[in-house]
Amino acid sequence: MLSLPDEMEKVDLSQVEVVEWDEILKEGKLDFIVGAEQLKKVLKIIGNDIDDEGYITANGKRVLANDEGEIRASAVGAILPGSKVFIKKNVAGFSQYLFEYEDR
Amino acid sequence: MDPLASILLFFSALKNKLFRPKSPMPLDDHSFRQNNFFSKNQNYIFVNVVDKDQYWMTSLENLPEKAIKALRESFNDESKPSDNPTIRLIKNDFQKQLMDYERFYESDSELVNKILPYLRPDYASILKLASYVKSKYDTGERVEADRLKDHIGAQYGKNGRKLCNLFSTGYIPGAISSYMANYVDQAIPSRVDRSEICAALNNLISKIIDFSENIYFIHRGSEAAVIGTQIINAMKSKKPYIALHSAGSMNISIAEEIIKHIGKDNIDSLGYEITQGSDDRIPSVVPFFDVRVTPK
Repeated sequence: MLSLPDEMEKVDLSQVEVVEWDEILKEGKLDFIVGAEQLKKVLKIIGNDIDDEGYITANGKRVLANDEGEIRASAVGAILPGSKVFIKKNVAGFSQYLFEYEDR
Repeated sequence: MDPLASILLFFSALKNKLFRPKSPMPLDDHSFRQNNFFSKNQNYIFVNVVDKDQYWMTSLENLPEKAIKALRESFNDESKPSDNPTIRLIKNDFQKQLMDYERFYESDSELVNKILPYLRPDYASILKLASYVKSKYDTGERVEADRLKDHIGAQYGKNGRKLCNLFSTGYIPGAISSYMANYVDQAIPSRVDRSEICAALNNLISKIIDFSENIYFIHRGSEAAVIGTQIINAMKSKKPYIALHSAGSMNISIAEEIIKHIGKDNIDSLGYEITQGSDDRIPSVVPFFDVRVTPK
């Protein structure tokens, strides 16, 4: 059973807003915010694993970020170097954005 | 129907949907409420629609294939089908930091923005983070700045840390404004090949790193005798630029000890002179001590 935060347990369940995934997936950018356990589960769902030293792997090999660094599972989503998501989508990707920006 | 049974039924119907309370509930509270929620519900996550800043909850049991594919693009190097959204996976304890960082870059300095497109990925990554570190120092968030810098050092090694220090102490911005920005400003209108601009800027950064071989940023672990000896050897090798940068009374004491170890007579006899650098940084409660040792 879903256990809601304390404040939310007081909410009338009829006052819960519901949306279909199709609606949400129409949006361009989504952040999946997870805790440590949820992170492991999400990685498993998408076919990745975490090796004994805490690095994210795919098909037995460590996943590399755009800066060629290996990614620690504990750093997923951190703004720090080593975070695949951040490095790939924001830091290295920022260069591409600026190219477009300069061309405007 | 039993109230508990009706609640169970309600949530089982939500398994393949997203939901949130209608009355405003700050689900973006990364620290307490989310941790509480995650510890109690290991199969549930929050989904933030970034452009709308809307937070939803959903079960991991029925993630749609489209979402799974979009996530795989981040971790498995799959090519991105055009109709998939961009999905980032973020641990909740990083969320606030990430948002702060993104807000910061919405107003990032023109200087850094101007050169980033031309830099190789590791230089760009380091400089972008370094300018964020500098902003933290400038606003007095020294602990956070030090922490970020440590991570840069852990990921990019000695050169990464050095580049970060070179940025936060003004070396890189100075070099950019005196050379890089002008170069880029002239090169772009003149339609110089981007690869030429990239080569020029990356070479310049590499040169700055090389040039900084004898620029020392004093920290708690700095050993006065070791650095002092290195500086003497640098002067014997006729190095063009030697500098010591320290912040905080403890580090300033170490810098003074280094100078004592070198000895002013030694500096003079080797044809160098010592000058205290001017401090044009934002005033801070932390004292700074910058010293340059250059050929006479």
